[in-house]
Amino acid sequence: MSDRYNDIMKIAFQAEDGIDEEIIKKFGRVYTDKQVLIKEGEIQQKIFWIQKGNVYITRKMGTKYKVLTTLGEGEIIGEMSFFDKSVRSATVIAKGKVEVLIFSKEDFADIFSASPEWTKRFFISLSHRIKTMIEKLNLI
Amino acid sequence: MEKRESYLQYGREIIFEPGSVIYKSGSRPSKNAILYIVAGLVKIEVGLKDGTKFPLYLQPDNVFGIVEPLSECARLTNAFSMEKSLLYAWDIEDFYLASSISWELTYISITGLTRFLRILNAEFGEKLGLIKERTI
Repeated sequence: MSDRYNDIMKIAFQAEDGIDEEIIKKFGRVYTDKQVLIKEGEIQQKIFWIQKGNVYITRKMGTKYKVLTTLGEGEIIGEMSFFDKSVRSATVIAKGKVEVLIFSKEDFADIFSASPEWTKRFFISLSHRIKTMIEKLNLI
Repeated sequence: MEKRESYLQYGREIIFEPGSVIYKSGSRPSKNAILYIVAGLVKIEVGLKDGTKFPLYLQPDNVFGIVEPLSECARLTNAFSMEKSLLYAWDIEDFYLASSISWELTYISITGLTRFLRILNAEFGEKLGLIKERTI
């Protein structure tokens, strides 16, 4: 088995506890304020796991980006396109300095299929995001 | 295709007559709150405080009712049976168990959630377009 696969399995089974320097070196990236992580309309299928900092989930309207919501540490972003195979529906922009781990869709598929804990994590994360969005829709 | 009996065995069967209410917004989720459509047609209706309502129609092999039990909140939407519908209902633990043994169930459940979130995001984006809201 390759080192990369072993690292992926470490993340699959140990999640946050499995993150060490080696994994950060291989999968980590730091974004600075206002840098774009994901662009609306793109087809790329990288998945981002936020380790530190926050990101804006935005939608471009004219020349401005309207903020739909803000996501922070521990959140996974970009997974929606992985599952429903659609293009990116939002632009994700760093709010200050952001540290992430970035996975290819193949790595992500390995992580996801190896451990049911990740399934739970997605169910809960998506449920919370839906709840938050309905609450926000009611505040407008 | 996996045999759906493999994951339905952890749920219990419920039949809803045409036009009947499956749950109402504001009600507490019942014990077996997560539902799978075996047959029939279900309408999920998001009703907002400003009177806006938007429906989502779900056919067989869709899962709904996940959001509230996992967010530990009251129902955020209404759900109606539009035809005679045969559903399977799980409690949270049985749903996790069923999804852990079935990639198919996991996949249809997650894509159901991502589709719903995309619809809500689009609705929110449209509403934001009409008002002055934070931009960057």
